[in-house]
Amino acid sequence: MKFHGTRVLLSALKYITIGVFILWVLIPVAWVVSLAFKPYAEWRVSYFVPKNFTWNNFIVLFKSEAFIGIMGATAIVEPVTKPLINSLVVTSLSTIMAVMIGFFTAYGASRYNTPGPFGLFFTLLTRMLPPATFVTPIMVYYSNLKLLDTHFSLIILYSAVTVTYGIWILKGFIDAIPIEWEEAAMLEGATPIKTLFKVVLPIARPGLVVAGLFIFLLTWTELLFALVLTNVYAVTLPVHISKYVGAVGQLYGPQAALALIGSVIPIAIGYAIQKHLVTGFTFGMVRG
Amino acid sequence: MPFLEVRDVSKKFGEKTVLKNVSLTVNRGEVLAIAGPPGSGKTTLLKIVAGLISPTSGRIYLNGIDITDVPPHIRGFSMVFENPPVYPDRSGYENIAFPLKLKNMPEAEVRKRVYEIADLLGIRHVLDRKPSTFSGGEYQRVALARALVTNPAVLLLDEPLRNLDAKIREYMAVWLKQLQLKIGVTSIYSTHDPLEALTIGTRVAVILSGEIKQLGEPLTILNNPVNLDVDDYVSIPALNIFKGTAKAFRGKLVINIDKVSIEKNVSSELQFEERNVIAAIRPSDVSVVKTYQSGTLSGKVELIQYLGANALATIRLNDIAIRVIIPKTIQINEGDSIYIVLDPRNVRVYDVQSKQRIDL
Repeated sequence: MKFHGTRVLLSALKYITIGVFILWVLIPVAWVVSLAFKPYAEWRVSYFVPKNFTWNNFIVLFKSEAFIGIMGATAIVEPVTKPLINSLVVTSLSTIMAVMIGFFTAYGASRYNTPGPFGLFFTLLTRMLPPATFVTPIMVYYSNLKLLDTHFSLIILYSAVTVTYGIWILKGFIDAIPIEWEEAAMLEGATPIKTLFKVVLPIARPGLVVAGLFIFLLTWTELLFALVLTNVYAVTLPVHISKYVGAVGQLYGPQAALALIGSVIPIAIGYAIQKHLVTGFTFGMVRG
Repeated sequence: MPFLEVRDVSKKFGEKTVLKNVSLTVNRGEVLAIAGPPGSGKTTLLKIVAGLISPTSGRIYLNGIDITDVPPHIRGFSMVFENPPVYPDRSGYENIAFPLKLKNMPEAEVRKRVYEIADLLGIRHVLDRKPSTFSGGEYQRVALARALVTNPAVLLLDEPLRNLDAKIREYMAVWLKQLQLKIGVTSIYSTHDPLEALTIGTRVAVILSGEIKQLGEPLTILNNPVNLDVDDYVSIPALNIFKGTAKAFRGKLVINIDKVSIEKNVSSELQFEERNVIAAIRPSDVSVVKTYQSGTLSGKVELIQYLGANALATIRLNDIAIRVIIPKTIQINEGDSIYIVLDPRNVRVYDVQSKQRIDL
């Protein structure tokens, strides 16, 4: 009986721990959702369900002049349209670049050992230093090259610092593809390039999706580089959120609304591509 | 003229010699089985024939034409690998059609050929399915269909059945043999299993540590190994090997192992003085009786292992131990006294140094 009691206790402890963890993760999310629909008067109150439900926080994001009147707070911020488009463009293009470069590098590393073990490890260097240590030199470089506040500069930088994830994630996938599968195609008349595109690339597709999603999320939420390197023209969403500050302090409502918009996009993308994560994910299986 | 000839091929990877002066021929329409334990160079040899690896020295001829430097896809060979090239991301149909589509064959022709080969191999039902739903046998047959759909000049099979479980492997080996007889494609079939090689091969080449030790018809390899290593390799269960002495004179070969003397008839040309030799006999070539008869040797059962259809007994005779296959009809127990019947014709004698057969 004592043993039984211990088991109940352990299992209770397990569920309490899980429960606490879930609350710890979900309460801020719930708070953001609730805040996004609350009018200015309710921003600093403790209840979750808004008494006067409003869309104003969202409407305000797309306006600049009307802003003050609705909020009763003084701040002039550009409409969210441009940062939203900037973020989409910068994140998508840099993700595609990082994944493609990562794929080719990983293929070379896996099949021909091109960068050598040290070379491959070297690519991790961009992630070993805290970004804050090299953001200033990069700003100086970009300033001299007249690249500050451009989409191009962000795309290049983001690709460069995330490509190592692409390489390491994809190398695992490519290593799992038997070399014989390529040799068979070569016997049948495929050139090495054709083998790469018609055999390896389609089979490694789940890997491309995993790496892409991972890099997309990293880049989508990146604040430091964007904050330092952009000003007006190439501002991204995370930077834009920080601009909702008025004379009365942080404008929580529009910030929460924007956070919500910013979260919905990666969730939608993840949902749309989830089937690619699962299908075709059976490597080298032969059963008797 | 042989259809395919491998002449004096050697391959080194760095310092390591993988193949040493390998020469063999394959006649049109036959299956040459290459049998050898893992790591003996079978895969390397097949890849050299396919053109995926170039040999360090030696040439490959097809119909008398040197193809050593011809790139793999021009040779028109197909290969089925141990890890069969069935791509998990596409259906059975797309897998089989893959080599044809590479050649930009019109869709109607592709469809016709894929269905033909699928019917021949009995896999029409898997054409619309993804490989993850295939059984092991279906998986192998899709790989084979892909290899055959291009009508290859030579079909190279590199341990295609290795990953299947024993019962399906046995069935597939017979099925493959029948299929080959039907379509007559010239094939080279490599396997680590000597019995599989003897089943499938029209002729069998035994390759050990990168050297072809013997090439011949299955029965010749089985009954007349020219070399101790070949005898040891094809013997299942493992060969009984004894050190002894032998002398040959006037058509008689007298072999002395421990206190046992065996006399065997040989060609009268074979003559040598008493010398050290290695004598070998397979466990399946020795029989036992429970009561003494003249010419039998007395021994004691030391250990019994059950093999299913029969048992393998280790029997001690003075200072030597011999393993014997015992049929189920003979009931024995460990510790029993028993009498061994040795047929001198089944005792093979090998040179100590060169390990070559000397009693032929």
